[in-house]
Amino acid sequence: MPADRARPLVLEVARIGLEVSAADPAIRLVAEPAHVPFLAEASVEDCARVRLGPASGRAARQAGRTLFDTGSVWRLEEVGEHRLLTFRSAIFGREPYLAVEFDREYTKGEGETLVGGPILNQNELHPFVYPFDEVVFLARLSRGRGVLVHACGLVIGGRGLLFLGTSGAGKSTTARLWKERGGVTILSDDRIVIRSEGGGYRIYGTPWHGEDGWETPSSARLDAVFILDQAPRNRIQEMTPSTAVAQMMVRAFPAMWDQQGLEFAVKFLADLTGRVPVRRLQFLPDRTAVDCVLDSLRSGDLTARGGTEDIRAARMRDDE
Amino acid sequence: MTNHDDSRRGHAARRPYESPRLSRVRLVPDEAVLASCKSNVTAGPGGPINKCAANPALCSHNAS
Repeated sequence: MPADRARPLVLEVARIGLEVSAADPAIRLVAEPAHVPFLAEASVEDCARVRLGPASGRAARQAGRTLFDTGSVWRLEEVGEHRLLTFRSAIFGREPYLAVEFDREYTKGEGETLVGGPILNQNELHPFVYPFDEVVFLARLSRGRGVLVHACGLVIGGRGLLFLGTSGAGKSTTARLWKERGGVTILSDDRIVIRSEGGGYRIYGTPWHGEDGWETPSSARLDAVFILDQAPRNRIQEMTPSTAVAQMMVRAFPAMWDQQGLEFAVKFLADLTGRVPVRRLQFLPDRTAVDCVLDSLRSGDLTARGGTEDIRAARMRDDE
Repeated sequence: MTNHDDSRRGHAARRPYESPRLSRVRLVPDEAVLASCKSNVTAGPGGPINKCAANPALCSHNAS
């Protein structure tokens, strides 16, 4: 997507902004197609600001204390009072192709990127290259803002439904089945942000990893959560609150490197399971799975419970 | 009186006791920490980055 020279790009996801500007006004900022619908025209109140320039080798010279290392793509270090995020690829050698130093709250960053690398090439700066933008959003979400989950999220009749699953669980299949039914807005078939708002929860579409251009910068009140489980027949099962939290947690992207962030995510999801129905959805990958969920919605079976009898019954099912 | 009402309200909102138990849940570490190359949709001018070229076995482009 062409953009004005020297004009910052602001990515807005779940009412959270990430503004990136180029240190050199001659550099043109470009967003990838999936991110374009999520570019903010107006300012975003809750926004991190990052300025990127060409690599000078400064990041390589900085000696930080490693806080978290994925062992491959990215690493988080503590440098004085700051946080240094570095991103590497074997394709571009040992030095990081991107290094950004943030304050502790990830509100302001200064960074450098390899000329000829994946982000800065031929005077074009592509700031929203995986996983940089997603990591920054995770860090900011973990500061009490919300939780990113591995899920397909959709809206039907104003009701927001979440279908959580790791890779291969059937999130994209679920999105396709619901899309074929019609009357549905797909927020994303892979990554959804959940935020606590107005005494309830709201789900937001994201630009990350979706297929078929289904990413929508829209949101809806969260009405029900389903843990996807492919099976020979369709069935919706209750879970104990602790099982529901555990099953959501392993399909979420908390800030693994940060105790405060992890504790926030656990509490957030524990509170959510007490207020929003969370069910295991055993399903066949065809339209009967959609009918099964719709029947549950119509019958009023999907209410947040958690009484002693409910827990006892759900525990027996967990043990099956 | 106020304290009494608050405590009753807190009691009503309290969840029933659930005894602790251990259960095993499956975690996909590479996915959980954004360390796998999920897709090339968001790759910039350099094309798909990360580990695809270096280690195709770890590539999860076609995952759900």
